[in-house]
Amino acid sequence: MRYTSPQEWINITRQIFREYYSSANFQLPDDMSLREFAFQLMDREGYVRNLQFLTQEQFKNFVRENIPFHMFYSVGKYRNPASKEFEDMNWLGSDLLFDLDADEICEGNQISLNNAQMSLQYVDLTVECLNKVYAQAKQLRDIIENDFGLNYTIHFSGNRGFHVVVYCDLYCSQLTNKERKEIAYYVKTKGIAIDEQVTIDIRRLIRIPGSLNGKAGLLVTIVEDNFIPSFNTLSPFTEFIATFLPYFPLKISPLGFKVEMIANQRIKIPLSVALYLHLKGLGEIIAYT
Amino acid sequence: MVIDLAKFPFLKRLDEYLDSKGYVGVPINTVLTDEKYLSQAIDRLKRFFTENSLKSYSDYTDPVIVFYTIIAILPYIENKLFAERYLKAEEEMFTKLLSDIEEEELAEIIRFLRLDFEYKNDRFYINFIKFLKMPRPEGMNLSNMTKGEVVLSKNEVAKIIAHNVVEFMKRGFEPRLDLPLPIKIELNKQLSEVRNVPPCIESLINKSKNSMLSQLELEVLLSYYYSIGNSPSYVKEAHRNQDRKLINMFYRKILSSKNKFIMYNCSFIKQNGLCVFDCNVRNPLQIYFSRHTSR
Repeated sequence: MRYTSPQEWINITRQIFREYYSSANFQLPDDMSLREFAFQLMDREGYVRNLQFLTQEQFKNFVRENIPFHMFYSVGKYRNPASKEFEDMNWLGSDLLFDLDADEICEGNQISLNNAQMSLQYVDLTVECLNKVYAQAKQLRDIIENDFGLNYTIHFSGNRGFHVVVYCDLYCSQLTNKERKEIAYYVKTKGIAIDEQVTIDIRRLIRIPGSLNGKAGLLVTIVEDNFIPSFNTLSPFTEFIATFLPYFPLKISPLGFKVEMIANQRIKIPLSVALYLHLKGLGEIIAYT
Repeated sequence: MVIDLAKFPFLKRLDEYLDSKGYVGVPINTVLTDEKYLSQAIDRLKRFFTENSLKSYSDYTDPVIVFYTIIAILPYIENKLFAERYLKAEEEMFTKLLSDIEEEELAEIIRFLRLDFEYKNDRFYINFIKFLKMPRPEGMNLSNMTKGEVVLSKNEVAKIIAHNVVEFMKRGFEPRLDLPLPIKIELNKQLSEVRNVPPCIESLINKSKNSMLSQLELEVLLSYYYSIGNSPSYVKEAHRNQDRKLINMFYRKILSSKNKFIMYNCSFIKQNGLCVFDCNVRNPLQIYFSRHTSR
């Protein structure tokens, strides 16, 4: 069962996110003023879309004021990114995006959890699985570099996948949906499990590196050569300890951290792990220090 | 290296060619509707359907003008299926001719056409974005890539060039050359003669030349013309002596029909006394779409 009201849940989550966002740094593209920004806020359904920021400072101020749950910018570049209708946005071109998701690559062991008040499905985020997805991302990186001759960055999504982003020059940015589909098809024939729809879509949103993924509380990060899947490397909350109240009896090892939970029995664990469990709906954070 | 223009007439721009032949100041229309070239072009189209093969352009005394005359008359062929099949055959012919030449000659043609392929170490290379954006034969997708370039064999390049030539033929002249009406009618008349016309339809065509057809006869005849791909405007023009009200009524009926219109079948034609010969088919169109044979 849930112990706190929805508003209390939002309050503590927001408080934790604020800890990080008060001094966070974001990797925003140089042409950020041409991008559409979109956010999911904690106390509102749906997305707040069609926002435009001219400077990093303007963006940071928005984040500090609103403490969003999820934040994105567009692969598309527009003359008027703040226009509500796509036709009025005046599309200038789009980067090329590839999405690799653990659900497509790993054989996740889905656990069904039930108690008197709720039921949910949980798939553990194992080190082995993330390494497998990362291996595919590296293979894709080699294809992009060796076959397509393009520059790329690999982003960890902050949850269960990776994005490989090609920042397109003028020529590449003009690729149509149909041409992007051919690129996706080529990549798939090389054995890479990408989400074709993401690559085709010139209006897709990318999670912002430096932001937190509201589904897991992990950082969206640009991955250099080395990717180590652990809470210590992927969470900014390693120095805090949380009191966590589980909803279900469960033994799991997300990112290699062993947690043994008994329903309704408080445990003290690192805030990074507690936030992950909290956002997955496996229990709630009561307090942290 | 000298490229054989007679085999590849598309390599020559028409205006440059006409200048080099001394046609300075002569309108393009005048050259392309010259009886000599026009009859060669129509004959080329007819022969494709009677013999199911194409003559090499090098068999003509002036291949470049014949090639451009074909381009000029293609938009006026009422039977679009016919035009499509013909262009497909042109593409196959150019593919074969281009595949048969030496790599160096193909590379020369590429330079001549200012295409973006680069020939090095016996292979052809093109930037993958340029490849994606260029017209290509269906099914020719990205493959065999290195450092942003698609690596292609001579045969693949031949297919792409031939495809682009046919796309050029489809685009035609801009603006479209206006052919005189009698030439348009003659062109379509001659082309319609090269197919096997079902006996019942032939009988109606003959009758229509000298007398007015009944509403039913006219509907059977028009449904035949419509089904083989002729446009209403052409059919109206070709049947000026028939009841225009009935013709207009027929086309309004087709346009308002939500389902695809199908030619009247043989049993309907028999029931209404319009069958003149037992062809042993279910629908007169089976005769039309069967390969041409002399009757």
